[in-house]
Amino acid sequence: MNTFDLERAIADWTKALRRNPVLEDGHVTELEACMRDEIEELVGQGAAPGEAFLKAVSAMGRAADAGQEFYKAHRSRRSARPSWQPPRFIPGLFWSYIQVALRKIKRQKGYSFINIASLAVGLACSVLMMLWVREELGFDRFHANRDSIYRLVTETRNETAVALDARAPTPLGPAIKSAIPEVVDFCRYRTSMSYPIKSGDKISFGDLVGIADPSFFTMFTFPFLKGDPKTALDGPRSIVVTESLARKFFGDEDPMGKLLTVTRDSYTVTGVIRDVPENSHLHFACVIPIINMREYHHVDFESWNSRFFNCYVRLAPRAVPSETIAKISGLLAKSMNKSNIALRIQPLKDIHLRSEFAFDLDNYAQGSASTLTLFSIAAAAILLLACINFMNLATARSANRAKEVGLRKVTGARRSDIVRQFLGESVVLSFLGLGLALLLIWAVLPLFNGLAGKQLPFGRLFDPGLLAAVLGVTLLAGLLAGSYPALYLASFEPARVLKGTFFGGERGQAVLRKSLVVLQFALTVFFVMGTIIVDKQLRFVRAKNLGIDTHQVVTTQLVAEGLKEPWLADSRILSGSQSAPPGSAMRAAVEVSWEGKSPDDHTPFFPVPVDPDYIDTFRAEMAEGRFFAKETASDRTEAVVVNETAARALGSGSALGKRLTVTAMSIEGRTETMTYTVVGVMRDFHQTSLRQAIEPMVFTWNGDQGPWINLRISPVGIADTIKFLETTWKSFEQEYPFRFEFLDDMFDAFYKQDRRTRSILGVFMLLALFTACLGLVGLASFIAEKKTKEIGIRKVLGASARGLVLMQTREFLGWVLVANAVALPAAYLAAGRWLQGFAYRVDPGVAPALLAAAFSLIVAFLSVAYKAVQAARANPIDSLRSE
Amino acid sequence: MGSKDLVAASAKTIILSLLLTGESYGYQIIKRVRRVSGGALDWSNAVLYPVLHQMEKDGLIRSQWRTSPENRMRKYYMLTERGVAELTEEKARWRGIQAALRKLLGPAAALDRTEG
Repeated sequence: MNTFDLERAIADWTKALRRNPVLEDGHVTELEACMRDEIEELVGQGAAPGEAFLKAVSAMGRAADAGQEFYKAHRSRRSARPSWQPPRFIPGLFWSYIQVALRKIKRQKGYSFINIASLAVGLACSVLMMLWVREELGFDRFHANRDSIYRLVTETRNETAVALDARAPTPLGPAIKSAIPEVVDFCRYRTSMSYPIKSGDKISFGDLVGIADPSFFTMFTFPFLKGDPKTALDGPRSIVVTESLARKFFGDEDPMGKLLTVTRDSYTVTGVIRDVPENSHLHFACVIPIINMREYHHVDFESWNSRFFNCYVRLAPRAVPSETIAKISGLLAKSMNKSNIALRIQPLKDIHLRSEFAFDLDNYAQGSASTLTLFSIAAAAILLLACINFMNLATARSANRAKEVGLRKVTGARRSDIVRQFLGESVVLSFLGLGLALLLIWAVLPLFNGLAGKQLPFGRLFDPGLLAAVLGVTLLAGLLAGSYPALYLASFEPARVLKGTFFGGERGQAVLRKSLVVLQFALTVFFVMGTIIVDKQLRFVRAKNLGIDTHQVVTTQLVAEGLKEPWLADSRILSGSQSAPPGSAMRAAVEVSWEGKSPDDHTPFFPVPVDPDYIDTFRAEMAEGRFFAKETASDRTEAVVVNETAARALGSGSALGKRLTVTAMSIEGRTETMTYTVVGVMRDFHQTSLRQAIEPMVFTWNGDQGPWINLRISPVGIADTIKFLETTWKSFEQEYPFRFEFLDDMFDAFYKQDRRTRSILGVFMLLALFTACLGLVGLASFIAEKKTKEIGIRKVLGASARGLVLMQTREFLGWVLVANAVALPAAYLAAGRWLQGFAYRVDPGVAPALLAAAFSLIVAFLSVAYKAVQAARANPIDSLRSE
Repeated sequence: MGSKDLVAASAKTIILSLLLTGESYGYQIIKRVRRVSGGALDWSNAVLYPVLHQMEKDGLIRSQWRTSPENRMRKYYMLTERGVAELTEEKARWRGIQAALRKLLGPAAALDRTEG
């Protein structure tokens, strides 16, 4: 009690009152007098001063309450702005904000350039990604029933794996529609590219022909220009064409009722639709009724073993997909009498981004949700880097604005006014950045489309929804970038700032700046590492010995009889084999049984139809036994060759001589059982992408029944050889053009998406690096400027230019090292997860980390060194004379 | 009872009546109100000063800063002509209310008394 200082307590209390804008000085004095009277009286009654003070204070009411009452008493109109508050918007002041902002941009060209350029790069990345994401998420959203359409995907399980097939058993659709009430409708669909389309003397190849149930156009509401979607596919020989196909064949004439020949049959045009939009997973030039597949592909519509079509269903509005799919799976299990097959239900909106199934419609660039997420994060990270640049430079250079803030405060600006001013400034810069970003996007969009395999039009940016999002992100980036500097600048105390004892960039600031630079470089190093590892894996994939020689092998489909012989007779054709080429996708497991096979063994075996020339043409090798011999005709029906993986699956001991019963299912659904003897074991080779492990394979000599032929050609004069192949083709076959593929191209195509990832990652890496370096250049020049005098003095005292450069750069390099320590483990983790997707993968090793670290250090050093050298070289007389 | 509203409504009349007997300053007014009401009315500054300022703005009272004998700045309030006239009107108004309330609350008041 004795230590209670009444005067001090009262002074504190009045100080609190004075902060209240409502109370004028007179009011406070009056209240203080009143308070003193009360305390005096209480003390007179014998209370201790402290106690009296507390009592008086509570009797007075809190300062804030007092303020409120005072305000009520003083305002003249109910809703008016209190007179002691300045108006929210003062045009003159606003003009001054703009003037000052523009003046600063002009005066500090270098810093403004760094800020605007890095914001522009960050915004350009983000806006591009938004454009892309919107496109990808917008897939298949134009159908009226989009939310009730699902696709049924077949799931086959064995002990080790789950195989997913985009197709469903052929009779499933009709069966579930009649048995399960929630299934309102179904539609089976697939495409074929191998039907020529003719009308009169016009012929066209390679058009995608859709094959679908008549319900197709009521389930998927592609807009009809002519004809009735409900009935267009009812006739078995009716065809619905797109606008451009119609124009191709009929010009400006009305196509309705005209005839089109597909393969050998005539179809009547019963409908014309608008061209299928890019953002549809269904693509076709025309659609014919499904019933024709019975004839063209011998599809057995009754067999549950036949899988030929994708099966879409439309569910009743209130149906729960998970319950419905349980019912459908139950029905399937009953019909097929197999326990390891089930169905999954996939919403239409997931088909584009979340389909990794075998036998999917592969007629367009499928999206990948994870790639999209990765790149979105990358773009956001680059924008973050730009915001960090802004924060760093703005706070570092805050001393330049300190006097302005001080003066504004002295003349009545509140904290919130200053915050608003600086936030406004950063938002203006952000929008300037957006302008530049739009220019950038306009320039690089074609390039980006090439990388991403898309056709995004620039005009799409001005869709109201996207435009709002773009403006929103820009605003947000401006606010984020400006938030910290604004709060920091607004906290300046005018007295200190105006007295000139303030220099800015204090200790706390420096720590924050350092951590921001570390964060920037960590992100950059992460990108660098990612790019290096993806690149390493792709190089590994390309260089990996596949077990066969994929170079100089031409693959085509034989259409005409008798073409093979003249080809093989030519000396430039080293060898030819009629067989499905490795890397072709049409593979379905067969059941193989042998003596002593465990009943629980469900190992899938994959059939490869070959001929005796297979091994020479692809340059595969035998591990044991022999390959099929041309002279031994019985090899056709009695012999089988397996690969090493299959030999292991057959059990211990040599596989030679084992008898295998192969139950194969043709895609049309017919079952054939054959028994063979193993005559040879082939060395394992890769049949497909390195993402997949080598599977057990069974080679049988029936490839010459298929359409494929593979020709190993001489490595000399490849162009001439191809020309020869084409002229020979033309002499036998006039209708179909000669189309071929190189086997190595087919294998390369497996990694198209990965190469795309590498390219885009590389671009992001460069941009992140650019942005981070810009920031570093800015900071370095700021520090060089601040240290001008120090450097001058050091020089006068005999420091060498080299030592001075080192002094200035050492700190930055330390930060970059810390960034490496943070980013490298994270990058290894992420890369490890990506590599998991490959059955055969490269060990990243330490080299990429060393490379990334060295790279980041060198780049950081170069960005800092220029200014540092300049400062170190300056004549000390100049620097010491300044001021 | 929303005593705050009642206080606000009656404060003007009470202050006018008090000032009729002579000029006074804030704390004194609070004390005198407390004494007159037997402690029933205990105003805080937050109540008093806004009312005083409002009345001053309306021209009912005027104020003057003076140094008190204890050498403290004090603001004294005194009635104006308009204040006196206002008091007369207020008195009439309150008398009316008083009469009405007495009639209305009479039996209940009696009941209180019998029970108390």
